[in-house]
Amino acid sequence: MTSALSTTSTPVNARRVRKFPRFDRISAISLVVLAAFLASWEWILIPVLKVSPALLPKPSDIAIALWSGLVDGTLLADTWMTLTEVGYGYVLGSAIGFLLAIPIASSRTAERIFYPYIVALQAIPKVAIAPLFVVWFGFGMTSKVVIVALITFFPVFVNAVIGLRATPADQEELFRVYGASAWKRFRYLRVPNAAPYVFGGLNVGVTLSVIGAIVAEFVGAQEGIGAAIMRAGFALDTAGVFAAITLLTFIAAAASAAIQALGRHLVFWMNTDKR
Amino acid sequence: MQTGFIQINRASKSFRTRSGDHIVALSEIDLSIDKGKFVALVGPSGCGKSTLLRMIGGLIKKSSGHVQIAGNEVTEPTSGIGMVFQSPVLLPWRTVLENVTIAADLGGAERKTINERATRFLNIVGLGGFENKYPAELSGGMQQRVGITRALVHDPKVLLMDEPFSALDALTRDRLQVELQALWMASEKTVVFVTHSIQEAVFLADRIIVLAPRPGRVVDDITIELPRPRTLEMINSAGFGEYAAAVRRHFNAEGGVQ
Repeated sequence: MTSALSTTSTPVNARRVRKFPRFDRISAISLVVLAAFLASWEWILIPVLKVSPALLPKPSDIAIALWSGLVDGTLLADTWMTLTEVGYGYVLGSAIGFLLAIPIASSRTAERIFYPYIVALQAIPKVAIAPLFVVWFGFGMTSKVVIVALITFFPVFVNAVIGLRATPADQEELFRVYGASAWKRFRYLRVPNAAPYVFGGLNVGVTLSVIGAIVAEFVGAQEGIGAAIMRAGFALDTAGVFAAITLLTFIAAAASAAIQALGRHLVFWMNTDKR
Repeated sequence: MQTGFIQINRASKSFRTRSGDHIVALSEIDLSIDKGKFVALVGPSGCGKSTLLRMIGGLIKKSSGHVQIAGNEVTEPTSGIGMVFQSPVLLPWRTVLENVTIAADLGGAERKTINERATRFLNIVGLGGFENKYPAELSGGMQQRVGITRALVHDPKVLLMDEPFSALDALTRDRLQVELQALWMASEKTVVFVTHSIQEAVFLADRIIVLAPRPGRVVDDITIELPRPRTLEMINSAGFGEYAAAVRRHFNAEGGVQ
C-alpha cells in the first residue's frame, strides 16, 4: 500500500486561529480618527462654540472624572455591582434559554404550543416592565438579575432552537449505523452542531445584558453604574455621567470580546481561516 | 432455497410520495452473497441501489420479504455492519482519531482495543501521524480514507459502501480503489459497494449486480473473473473491456435500461 501523502492536495492549516485582530496601518488610521475626533472636541468644539461644560464636558474633564472616580473607589464599587448583576443574570438567562430550547427543538408540538408565548414575552419592552420587577423583587440585586436574565434569555433561546435542529441528515444516519441512543445523539451530535448558533446568541445576549442591568438600576438602585449615572445626573455633574458611560462602554466591549474569544476557542472548527 | 452469508429473498420496498403517488423502489429482490465476496450494485439513478444497501444495513425498513445476514433477520443496524457514505461524514470538532473511534463513545466498542486498531488502520491507509489533525486540515481523499477506516475499525463482518469515491477527483479515486482492494484482500470482509461507475465496479468487484429502475429490480448478475490484485493497467486490457461492455449494454445512451 502506497503512502497517502503523494495523492493529496495541500492540507489547509485549519487550527491556525487568529487570537487577536492584527494591528496594521488601517488600525493605526482608525486610532488617528478617534484622536482627531477627541482633539477637535477638546480644542475646537468647546472653546470656539463656547458650549457650557455643564452641558458638554471636555474629554479631558471626562477622563479626570473617570480617573478620580476609580481612584476614590466609588466607581469601582459601582462597576463591581453592575458586573455581578450582569454575571448572574447572564448565566441564568443563557442557561434557561438553552434548556428551554431543548424541548422546543425536539418537538414540533411543543414548539407550536409554547413558541408564540415565548415570542410574545420578548415583544414586551423590558424597560416598561422593569418597575414591576422592582416591586416584586425589591431594590436589591434580585430584580436586576431577573431583568438581565430575561433580556439575555431570548437571543440564546432562539439561536439554540435553530442550532439544535441544524444537525446534517448524514450525521444523523451515521449515528443510526452505530445504534446511538437519543442521549448519545444529543450529547455527541446535536449539542456540538448547536454550539456555533448558541455562541451567536450568547454574543448578542452579552451586550443586551449590560443594557438590561443599567435599565434595572435606573428604576431603583443604590449602587451600580446605572445608579452612578443617575447620581451624577441629579448633581448636574455631566463629566461624571460621561465618565460612567465611558466605563460602561468599555465593560460591554470587554464582555463581548471575552465571549467571542471563548466562542472561538470552544467552537474552533467554525473559525478556519477561509479568506 | 440457497443460503448465502447475506441472503435477500423477495425483498420489496415501496413508499408513498408527498403527492400520494405509490412508488415501488425495489420489487421482489432475490440476492445471495457469499462470505468474503466483493459485490458491486450498479444501476442508473432511481434504481434503488442505495435503498437496497440501506436495507442490508438495517437503516431502511423493508416493506416485505427477508434480508438476512449470517442467518439473522436484519431489522435494525447492528455492530456487524460498517458503512461508508458518499461524503466522508466526519465530525469537524473531532480529531481524525476521535472520528475513527466514534463507536467507542456510542457504545459499540471498547475504547482501548478500538484505539489500537484505529492507529494500525490509519497507518495502513497512509494517515499515520494524522491522528490529532482535524478533518478541515485534510484533503477530500484523506477525509474519505478516515471514513473508510472508521467503518472498518470495529471489525464488522459486512462493509457497506454507498458511492464512496464519487465525490473525489479521478486520480484520487483511482488510488483509493487500489487501496480499498488491498484492504479488502487483507481483511476478508464481505463488501457491498454501490456505484454508478461501470469501470469502478469491474475493477473492484467479484460480482456485479445490475439494477434497473421503475420498479427497482435485478436485471443481470455478472461474475468478474479478473485475477487479483487488479492493477490500474488492467483497465485497458481486453478482458476488462469485455466485462465493462457486458455491464454497459444494459444501459442505453440516455442512461436508461434496455
